[in-house]
Amino acid sequence: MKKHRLEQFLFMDWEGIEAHLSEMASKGWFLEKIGAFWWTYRKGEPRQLTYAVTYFPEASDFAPGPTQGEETFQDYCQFAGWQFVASRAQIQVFCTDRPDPIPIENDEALKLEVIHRSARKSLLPGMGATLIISLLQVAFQGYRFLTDPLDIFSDGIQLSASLVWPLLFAYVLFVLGDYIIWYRRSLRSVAAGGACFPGHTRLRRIVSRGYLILICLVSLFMLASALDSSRGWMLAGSLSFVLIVVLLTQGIKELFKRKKAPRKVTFAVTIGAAFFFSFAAIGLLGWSIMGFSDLWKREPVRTISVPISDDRIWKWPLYNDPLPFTLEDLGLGSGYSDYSRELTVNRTPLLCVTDARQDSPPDGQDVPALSYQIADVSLPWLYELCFRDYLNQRWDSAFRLCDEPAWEANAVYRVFWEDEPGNTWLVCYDRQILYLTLHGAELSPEQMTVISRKLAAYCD
Amino acid sequence: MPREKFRTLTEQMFYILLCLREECCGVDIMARVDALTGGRVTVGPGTLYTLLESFLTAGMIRETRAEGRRRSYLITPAGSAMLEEEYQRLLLLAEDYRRLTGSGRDPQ
Repeated sequence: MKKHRLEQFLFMDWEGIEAHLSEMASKGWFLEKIGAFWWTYRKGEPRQLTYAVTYFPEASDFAPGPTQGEETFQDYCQFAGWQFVASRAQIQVFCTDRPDPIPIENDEALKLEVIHRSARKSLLPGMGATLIISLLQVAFQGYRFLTDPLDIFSDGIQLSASLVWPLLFAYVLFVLGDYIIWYRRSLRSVAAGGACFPGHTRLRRIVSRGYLILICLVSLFMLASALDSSRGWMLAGSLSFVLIVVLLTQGIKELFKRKKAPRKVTFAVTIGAAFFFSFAAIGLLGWSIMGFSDLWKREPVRTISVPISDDRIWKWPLYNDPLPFTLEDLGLGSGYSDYSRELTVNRTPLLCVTDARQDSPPDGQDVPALSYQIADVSLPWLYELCFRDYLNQRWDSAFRLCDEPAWEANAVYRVFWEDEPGNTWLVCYDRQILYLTLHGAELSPEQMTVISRKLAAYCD
Repeated sequence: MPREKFRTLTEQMFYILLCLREECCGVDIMARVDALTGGRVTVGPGTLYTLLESFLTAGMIRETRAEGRRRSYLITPAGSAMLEEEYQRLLLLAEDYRRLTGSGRDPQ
């Protein structure tokens, strides 16, 4: 009978691994293989076994089998009573049932040197690369927060995704910093004739668990947001694509190893596969979004046939969502029956953005149309960011402060082309910002007040 | 670089080199050192492996035979010189001790 477990140990936590394996053995579970994703245990009679974890710097995760050096090393260990159990990259696991075995490494200075050489080959480059990538991502996220707050803060999926990178950065920083501190301390201790510092401490365990919990929380938040919106499918799709890329790459690596390919070939093929599958996945995802985007468009209430050219007819969809306020509320557009009213709401605990539009199909009729966006934000700094985002949305014209008390607002801005006033308004209330454009009519002060009252009623 | 590293030999280094004055294969070194020191000095298999590799790189021992996984080694003149140097150093230590404490035990 076999059991698979996902194990999570820090690089220099050999004591933790040894204690864990001994405990498993005393319950009858014996380590058989350390795989790419999980560890495999074999059931047997419970035994008291001592495990030892050593580091073999010359080993590689891409080699088809143990090198001659590794085999010699394992022979020495066997002679000293240590049975080889499993290995993965630089980590080698042995066990013995002797009551007082010779430790495999009984020179602390050499042990430290061997651990450090292993780290320099595996832990440090990997973590270093991850650190740089996540730092770049965090910087990029920060830039997007500042330039596109309306989009990101109202979208649960994007918001939770943006949390992943700082978390990853902090975790990698901790692992790297922790290792460097441990190494330097051990170096000093060993130079004075003492032992390496312990790799198994409460702090490290707490931090590892803590990060695991945080990642789970963020994932749950992302999941909840995804279920809430139609783009949940896109999220599920991209996550499964990532998983598929990882699985395929690992699979190729294991395949080449089993076929006894030389280490450099396996390494090159794995890197190449990673690149190939990543780009293929991105391409596939993009294509499926384009292809399936019709699947999650909403069903219109009805459609109108609009002739585009001499022989083509376009089915224009009409919707009838309830809007915070409509043209009819302003006394406009009455008598016209082919308006489409669309409402989109994107909300997170930080920001709620409501998009509303009431417009007509291009049937040649000259009727007014209305489009507006309401940003509902309670945090002052976020309010400021969103306000700036709105101000910067015009590139061909500029907003100017106006005096229009009919809006009953804190500040009112109107768009101006050179000196020509336009029909786009930016109105700032205590908690809401309204960005509104009216086509085909001029707003009168009475209409402004109507909108203000309707807005207050909608947001309560 | 290697000279710096092996300027003073640890007990394990010392006894491994001592054993390799005769051709010996890696596995037997552990048993020999144990017998030689009456169990006082033990060389762990990992330590043994690392030290043999270091000695090889530093030219203090050479590989004489390789029968599959069993590799045999022998000390080189450079290694012998280092061993002698260490012995002289230890004598100096013993001499200083005798001088300053008046301990009457003569070195064998």
